[in-house]
Amino acid sequence: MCLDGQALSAYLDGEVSSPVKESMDAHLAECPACRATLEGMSHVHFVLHDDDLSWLDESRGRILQNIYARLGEIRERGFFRRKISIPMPVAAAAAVLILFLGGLLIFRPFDPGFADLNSIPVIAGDGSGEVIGAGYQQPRFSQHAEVTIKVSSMEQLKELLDSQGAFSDVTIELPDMPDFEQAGDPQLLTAQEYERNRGE
Amino acid sequence: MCSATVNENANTRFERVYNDVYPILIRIAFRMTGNQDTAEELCQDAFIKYYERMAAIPNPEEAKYWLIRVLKNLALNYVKRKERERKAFDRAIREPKPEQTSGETEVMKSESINAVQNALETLPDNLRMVLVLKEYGNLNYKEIGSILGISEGNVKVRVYRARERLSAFFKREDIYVP
Repeated sequence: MCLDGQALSAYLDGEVSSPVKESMDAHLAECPACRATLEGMSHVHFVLHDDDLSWLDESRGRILQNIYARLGEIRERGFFRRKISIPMPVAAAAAVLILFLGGLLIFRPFDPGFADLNSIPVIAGDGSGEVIGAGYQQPRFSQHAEVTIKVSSMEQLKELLDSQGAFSDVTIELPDMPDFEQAGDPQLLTAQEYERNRGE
Repeated sequence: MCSATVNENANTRFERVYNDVYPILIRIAFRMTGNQDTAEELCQDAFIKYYERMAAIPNPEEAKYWLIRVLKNLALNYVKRKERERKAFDRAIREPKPEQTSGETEVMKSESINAVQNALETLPDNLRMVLVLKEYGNLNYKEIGSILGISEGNVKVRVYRARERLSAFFKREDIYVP
């Protein structure tokens, strides 16, 4: 039975080890068809190497000089002026991050210049729930990463949301009624959606 | 140690690797792109990258594989870019041309079209890269598999398929080695 082409190709590349190699040697000695296939593959190898590469030595010296020249330019330009190629997705992600951080800096939460919050009661940001007093309190970022503003009516909440744009969480507490029955998962709906749902 | 001595040592190390690997790299690049200028440019870029990271790749043998891997990526990117440019050009002039596996139109137009390059350009990129690494990279199947991120078995199959197609092409074109 004749040898398969893949095996002959691997044989040609010296990728067949003993004892398979010896059995292939023996088969090739007796099988003209397999010898012809192997010769066809050897022919490909010889054609691929029958090329004029007389330019290679000259090229090697010239490119080495070019490399040193380019490295010299890179050193002169210094690190911050170096041309760095960044893959497109990474560049896009970096741009989004920069925009996001820039946005945070520009629209800082609790900036007194954005809204008049003097009428809003403020509680401590350490989670104790202690009422500090009415009016705006300058956040102490060095001590508390978060500041909680408590409002007592929907109107105040609306005013706060309209005037500020950077709340991480808004918690709405429902009245504590013993006969309150849960009739499904909570949903946040617009007034129109609510009316539409009621109509149905 | 002064910076001149550091540079001198770095250059000595660099040139040792460069002299060993350049002949391999330039042949791979030349056979992937079909153009000497482009091949030289890709090799230059690969060696500059290597010089900048030489401290992290102290072993010359590792450096060889690293350089081949970098060059492979540069060459494949170049081939894909040229193919996109060729398609865009065809669309722009609304005269579609027969499909070519590489965008080396300048080579196709050249007087010095050579049989080897024509033959290699009939292969899809995945077969061509494996065969070029085998024939010009002095690498075994395991090393090729490691560079391309495929199994040894896959390398074996691709080398065989590439040879089979080239053999048929040479027969069709009546190409013989004297």
